[in-house]
Amino acid sequence: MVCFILPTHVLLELAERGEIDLREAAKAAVASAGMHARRAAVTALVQSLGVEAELMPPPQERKVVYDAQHGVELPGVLRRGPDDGPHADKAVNDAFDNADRTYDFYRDVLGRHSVDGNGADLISTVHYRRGFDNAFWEGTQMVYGDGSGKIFKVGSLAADTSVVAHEITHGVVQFTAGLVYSKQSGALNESWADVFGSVIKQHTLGQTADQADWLLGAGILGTQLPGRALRSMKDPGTAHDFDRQPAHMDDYVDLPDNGDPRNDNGGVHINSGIPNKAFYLVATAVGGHSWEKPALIWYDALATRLQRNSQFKDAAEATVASAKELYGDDEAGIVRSAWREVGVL
Amino acid sequence: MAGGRGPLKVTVVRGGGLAGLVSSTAVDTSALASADAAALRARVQRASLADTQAGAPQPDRELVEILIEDDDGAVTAMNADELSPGVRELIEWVESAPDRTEQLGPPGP
Ligand SMILES: [Zn+2]
Repeated sequence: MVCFILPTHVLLELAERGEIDLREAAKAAVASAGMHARRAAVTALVQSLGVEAELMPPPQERKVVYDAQHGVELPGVLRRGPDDGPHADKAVNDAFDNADRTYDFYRDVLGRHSVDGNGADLISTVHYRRGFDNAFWEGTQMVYGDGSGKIFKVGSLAADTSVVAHEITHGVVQFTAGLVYSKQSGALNESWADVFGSVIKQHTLGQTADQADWLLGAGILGTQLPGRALRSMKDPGTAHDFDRQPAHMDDYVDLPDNGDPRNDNGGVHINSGIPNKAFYLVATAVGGHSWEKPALIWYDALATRLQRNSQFKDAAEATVASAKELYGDDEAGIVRSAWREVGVL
Repeated sequence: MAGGRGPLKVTVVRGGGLAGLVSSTAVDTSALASADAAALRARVQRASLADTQAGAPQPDRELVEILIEDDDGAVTAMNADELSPGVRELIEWVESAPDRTEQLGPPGP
């Protein structure tokens, strides 16, 4: 298929003026419309132009898992394809099953097919390096180390739903707001990944906001990192012995983004505690399931309002606007109060 | 660099990552058996730190710094996660060396 990286309205104008093939334009417009609602709107637009376009069927869900065999080459050796049953290797199945839960959540709750909104394969690689204490989003796929037992328990990263959903959400952020991974915009990138990491775990467990632990990576820490989880959205700064996350702007940690590993891209994993706490406050004030109104507000802000260089204040205003548009003044008021409580508004 | 007989110290600092923590591992030839010290010197010579470069940041990707100190001074290679085989070999050796010292802590000063 031809890939037009142009806004839908531009495509349609070009098509109307006969400058590009109508059929291709219509296909591209529909393909680039990620969310269900936009897809429907674009379909209506295309039909109103009288174009006989063959509209694309909804994307198929596809998940694949590779094995780096303790090396650094990505993606590695294919272990489980989209239609394969379980593999003998637990790490492969863990990465597959958690990607499955995350894909289903984005599709069923948010109307989004995969990271790009168009059914891109969810690709995971397990057994990256030897005893590697990390998981990351590489720009096109997820990568999981086994953990050394010192920082992360062996085998715990791909097995934790909140960790996997966190990494996949970095992919969603990349294809939506594209928040730059530095300082406040980077901390927002981190926070949105934590929010959906926790919400998707809650969805999997069927928990209400009051029942949830609001932890990222609960029980996955190794022997050198005493604590109960990687991060706490309810009580930032209390998850483990080296947790320095603030819960209020008064305690914002201003680190430079200078490539020094000691500075964490300008404190992206530290200051995310502030927007994390704001989401927790919204979810508990609204009550019930966090994946209903709260997650829909946060997703709408990400997909339609936040931009590459958005700062905390922009995120606050975006979520207030999304709450007002989707639900009205009461919900907008709850969101505004939460950002005030953490000192952003 | 690192060709002499004086003490040589190599430190690998990892940061960023999913946890955002900073872990550092150091080895010093003055604390190593002579065979190990020779192995470290050989790996430092094979690692061409000039090849290391900073890529675009990727979410939760680790940032790595290698610090090499000897009589001639200090050389630092920043953000060297995607490294040449020689540098990777040096890092792996340091992180599994006998008599290494390890530290883990939060980011920041
Ligand atoms: Zn992250």
